[in-house]
Amino acid sequence: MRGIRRRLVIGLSLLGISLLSGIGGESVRADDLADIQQAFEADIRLFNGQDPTAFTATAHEHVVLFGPLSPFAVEGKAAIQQLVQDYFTNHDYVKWRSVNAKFLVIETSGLAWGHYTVREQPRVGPRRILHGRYTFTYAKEENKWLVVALDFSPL
Amino acid sequence: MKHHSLLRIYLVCAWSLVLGGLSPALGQSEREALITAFGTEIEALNTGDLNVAVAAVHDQIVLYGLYSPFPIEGKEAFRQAVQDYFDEQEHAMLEIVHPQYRLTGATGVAWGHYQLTRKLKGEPVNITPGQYMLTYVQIDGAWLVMSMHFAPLPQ
Repeated sequence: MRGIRRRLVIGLSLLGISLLSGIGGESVRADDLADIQQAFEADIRLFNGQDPTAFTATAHEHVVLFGPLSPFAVEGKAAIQQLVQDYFTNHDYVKWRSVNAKFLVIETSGLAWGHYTVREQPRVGPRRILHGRYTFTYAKEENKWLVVALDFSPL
Repeated sequence: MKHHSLLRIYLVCAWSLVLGGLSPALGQSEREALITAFGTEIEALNTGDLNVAVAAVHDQIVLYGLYSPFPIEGKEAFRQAVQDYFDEQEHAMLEIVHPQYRLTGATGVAWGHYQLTRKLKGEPVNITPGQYMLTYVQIDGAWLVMSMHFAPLPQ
């Protein structure tokens, strides 16, 4: 009888500790890296399709962007969407391609980085090819990866 | 009698975990801790303290800096890059302008503008303005740098 009680108490202790350890934490799945890669590739497809939801489709409400279109940070989904829309309005053709794309997951934070090439045809002016570097930062909230920061710097 | 002892151990473990989870709220807030971590990093770069500059970066840090178009990946490569930065200059001052911080769960973002005043050995003082974005991941209560992205202001 004493042995059964002892096992019961140990079992409940382990269960309690496990539950308490899990409170407030997001689980890290084995395919988190694949999820981030898919989210990244989806954003690029949207951008190349001149969809103004590019870079904000899976973004956090308070996402922050540093890019070549403004010396100031652009904050929030709506402001970034407006920036992207204005860019598309001023261009007949755009093609963004990542070069040597890399991805990293550390617990509930994720990173995509690499180089990019943009081929663009402005409404006014000659066709241009631009090169640069990018980092996209992701955070996992309620089991979903959201973009929280975007940084593009031209080379 | 024995199971009372085990119950006491269980209660002690449970309370330790609960109090451990509350510690950020009891002490410094997570946002303040992020601001402190960022300030410590910048101060270390300005005072030439290599060990402090490297201490609070994640093993898998990714750096896009000002002196190479390529990413610097991993803590050891980061240490070497910072060592080279210190070795080739007489003095440097990285001044942060309008710093901003945002937390999304265990992911932190610090961004803003900077002015770097730097004098390389045998060369005149050079002043360059730019943008920075650092991303952090919180591990065991500590904010570690996951990525750094520095870029001169777009022309």
